[in-house]
Amino acid sequence: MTAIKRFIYKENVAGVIFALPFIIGFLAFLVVPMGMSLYYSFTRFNILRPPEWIGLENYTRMLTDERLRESLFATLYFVFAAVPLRLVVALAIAILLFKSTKMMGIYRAMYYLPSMLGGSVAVAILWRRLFFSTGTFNTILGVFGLNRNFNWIGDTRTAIWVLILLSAWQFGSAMLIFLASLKQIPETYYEAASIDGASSARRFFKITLPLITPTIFFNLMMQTIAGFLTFNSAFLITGGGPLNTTNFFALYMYNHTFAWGNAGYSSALAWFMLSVLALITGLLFGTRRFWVYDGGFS
Amino acid sequence: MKRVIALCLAVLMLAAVGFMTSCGRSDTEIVFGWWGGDGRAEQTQRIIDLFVEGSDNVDYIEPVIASWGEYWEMMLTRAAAGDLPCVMQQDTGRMIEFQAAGLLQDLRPLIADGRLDVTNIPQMALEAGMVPGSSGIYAIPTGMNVTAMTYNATLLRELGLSAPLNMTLDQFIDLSREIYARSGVRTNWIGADPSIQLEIHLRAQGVNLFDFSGPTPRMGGSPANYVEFFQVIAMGIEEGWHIRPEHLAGREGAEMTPLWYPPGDEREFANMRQWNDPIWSNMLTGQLNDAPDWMEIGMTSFPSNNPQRASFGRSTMFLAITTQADDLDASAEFLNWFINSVEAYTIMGGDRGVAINPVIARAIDPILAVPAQRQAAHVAWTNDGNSSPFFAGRPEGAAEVVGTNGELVRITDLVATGAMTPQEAAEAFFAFGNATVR
Amino acid sequence: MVTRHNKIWSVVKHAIVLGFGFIMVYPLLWMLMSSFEVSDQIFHRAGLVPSQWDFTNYPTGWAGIGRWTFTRFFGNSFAYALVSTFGAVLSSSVIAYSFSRGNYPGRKILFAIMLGTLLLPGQVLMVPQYLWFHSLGWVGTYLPLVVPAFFGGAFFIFLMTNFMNAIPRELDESAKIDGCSFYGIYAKIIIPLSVPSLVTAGLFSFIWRWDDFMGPLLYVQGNPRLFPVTLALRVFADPTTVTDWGAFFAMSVLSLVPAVLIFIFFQRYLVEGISTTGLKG
Repeated sequence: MTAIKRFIYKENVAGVIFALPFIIGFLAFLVVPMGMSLYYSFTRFNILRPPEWIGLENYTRMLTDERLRESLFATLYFVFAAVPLRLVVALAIAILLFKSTKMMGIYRAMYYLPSMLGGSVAVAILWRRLFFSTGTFNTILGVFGLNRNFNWIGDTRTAIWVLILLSAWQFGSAMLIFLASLKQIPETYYEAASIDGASSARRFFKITLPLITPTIFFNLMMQTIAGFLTFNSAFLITGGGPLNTTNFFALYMYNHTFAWGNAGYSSALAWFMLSVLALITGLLFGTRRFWVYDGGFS
Repeated sequence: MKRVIALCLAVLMLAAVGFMTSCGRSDTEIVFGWWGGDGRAEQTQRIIDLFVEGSDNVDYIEPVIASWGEYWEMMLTRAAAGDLPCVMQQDTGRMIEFQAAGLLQDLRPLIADGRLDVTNIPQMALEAGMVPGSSGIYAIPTGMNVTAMTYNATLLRELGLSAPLNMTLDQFIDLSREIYARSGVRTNWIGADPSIQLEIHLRAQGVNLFDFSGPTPRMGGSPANYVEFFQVIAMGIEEGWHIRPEHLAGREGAEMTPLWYPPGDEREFANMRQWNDPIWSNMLTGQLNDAPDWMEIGMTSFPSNNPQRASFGRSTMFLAITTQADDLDASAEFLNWFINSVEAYTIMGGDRGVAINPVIARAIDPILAVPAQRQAAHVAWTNDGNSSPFFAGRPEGAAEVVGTNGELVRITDLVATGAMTPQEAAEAFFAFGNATVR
Repeated sequence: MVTRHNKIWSVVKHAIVLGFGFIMVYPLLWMLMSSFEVSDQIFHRAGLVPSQWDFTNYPTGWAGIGRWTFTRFFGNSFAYALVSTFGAVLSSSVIAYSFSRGNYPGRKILFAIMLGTLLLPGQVLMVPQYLWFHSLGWVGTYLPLVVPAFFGGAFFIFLMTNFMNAIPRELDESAKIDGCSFYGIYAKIIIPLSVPSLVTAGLFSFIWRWDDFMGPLLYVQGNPRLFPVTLALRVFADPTTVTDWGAFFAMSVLSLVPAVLIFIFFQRYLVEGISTTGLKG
């Protein structure tokens, strides 16, 4: 008894005991499912009946899958439009807000509230209704005598922008991160620049921007990954249509698994997605040394 | 203070855990699953309550509900988890898949020992619950639907036009052009589920959408049979009388009704997007409920060059007992009551189609609301020589071909936006279908 | 001259910020106002103020789906969010303590793996996890959503590890001299001092779970008894049937209340949490 007690009170042992939840969780809810999915990705599997080994067929199928191409295109389109848009707006507002201290609380609340609530089902369905042919957006346009009855979520050109807009609308958390990092820039830097007679634009590009590149990088990274995995908005607002222009990867996988009974194929898709994300994360890290300022503030 | 907070937290946690797991389980409980929205949920709950009240054995029926699209995703996952409802609403489009996975109880033994009384159920309806390659009966339909096209009768009357029964395709196209030219109101040729119109179109040519005659199921006919279906869309959009691509195929669902039914008392043509809706006969009830008072809704057959052969009736709203039901007796008791209960059908009115049991249909006809009566009349007319028999089964993989987010929707979109010619569309769809169904 | 210029610029700036902010919250205000509007008028109004005030949307909406009212759905959401938040905070603090104060071999590798899972997209695991929980027989319950929470959340571990690293080690040392074990230091020193980070993590966990849609969609859909508010709203606004939009918006507004309350009362924790770790809100 005391031997056991002594054992678990050893500091290293205790440290490992404290890490156990993570280790167990990692094995049980990550490693095991990933192993299973690797196996399923080589099978034909409709969930209802046992999987049937088909070798690489799921992977070769991807090469000729036209809907996969459309889905990848939609996902990339979304990421390349929504992520920069969100970051640019967040940065612009952060810079605007940075110095106006008195009203700060109210402003921050106004801009952050949408991010806080934007993830909810209620807001997604609200968004869907806003851009309907009979939706509020058209009613507002009608006030200005513009086009009514246009179904923004049904047109191949506009549907994805409705989702991009929803995503950009939730720039609040990125904005807060920018605000925090702007505050860390020592005032003395600006003072020195003012003495040298630098214009405000110059100050922004020469001081502010370089110093917050680590934050931009961090935001870019997180938002890109989140962007690649967008599901709720497409599922609830457009259902992937029209013409798969909003059929994001996560939704396409979902449909293969649960609507069409191709869980094997969708496991293969998951592994494909994982490699794509690893590649993109790697690439982003690779570009880091070209534009991210690492010098710190000292 | 800290202890109090900790205590409160603990109590709250316990309450929370209790909340999530409490389920009021009693001695005999069965689970009943169906698809539909809020309205059907309420009405079915009343039916369930009525049954439980009168039953000596069953104390509780737990509902499982989802909308049509999500219902099947859910049932697939539940089946995999061994958690199917005891009694579930089934559909000919899915029965084959579920039966092949051994999930549906063969009802013949229950019929033989009298636990299910089917004396009043027509033979044809019982056969609709069978699947190819098996002699079992796996589900019993509760309603009867026929293909039907509803339309804005007020609009047509104001224009001095009419939509006769058994219209030919050419008559329909001429009518659509005329309506568009004179009012600007467009036509919806494919409706919310393009596969119905496609099926009709193929049947007029003596072909079925899915061909079960060979060793494995495949698409019926040849690509040539499919071309005209896509041509009508392409032509209608090019000439302007068809609704624009952005409004096609379920993109707005029933939420679009404010457009079809102009809001409030605005009766201007500019506010109406389409004058017709090709759909099932049981949809009439809901559409009449939503339409403004002044608006009349007419009902006619699908346009077709051979309507007597193309139109079809379909047993629907099947109820099946699953092999995962743990209480077969209770499930059978409920199913038996449902298919033979005048009270149940009185509550549901026309919502699930016309009662398949003719005794019930006759009994409730006088007390049915007007919409349900009209629907019953249209079903009777269709079954009286204006349709031909139809096997509605769909093979495995069909959902990916003609389902909610399936290939047919995508290809009609491609045709509608001009990205594909009807000829290419027919070939692409045919090839995709044959590669996918199994 | 310069000051006047600055003043004008300042006014313009405030006007821009306020105006843009109004556009930002307009959809939310519109939803709030629509919950008091007569259902069939909701989409024919561009302005904010209802054409006639109708308060019946709330009781109508509360009546819910079938026999289950929103009392049930809100209860489910609360229970789900509360239990999983409790699990996530508790386990994450334990794990973070191990990463922050442990000295065992492999600690750094474990920490790197944990950071790796931060980048690992949850949805890639959707299918295999589903199949795994299915083989455990957990589908159709809240178990697949709640149990993993008790094994730590990467974001929260990261947040708390950072926080605990900032707690001076001298405190540990002196406690050790007083006879505190590794366990004792956790309970007596670290936890009381990391309360702010626990609160931040708890708030985020609560909001995320409250909003969680995909999880319940996969694991508890179909059974209205188990619906959280998110799923109930989804069924309520089922696109294949006609929706009572007034009632829907009324329930939507109520569904947002917890997040708004948290926002109002705990803003400081949220802002700090986001600023320091990039937790998305």
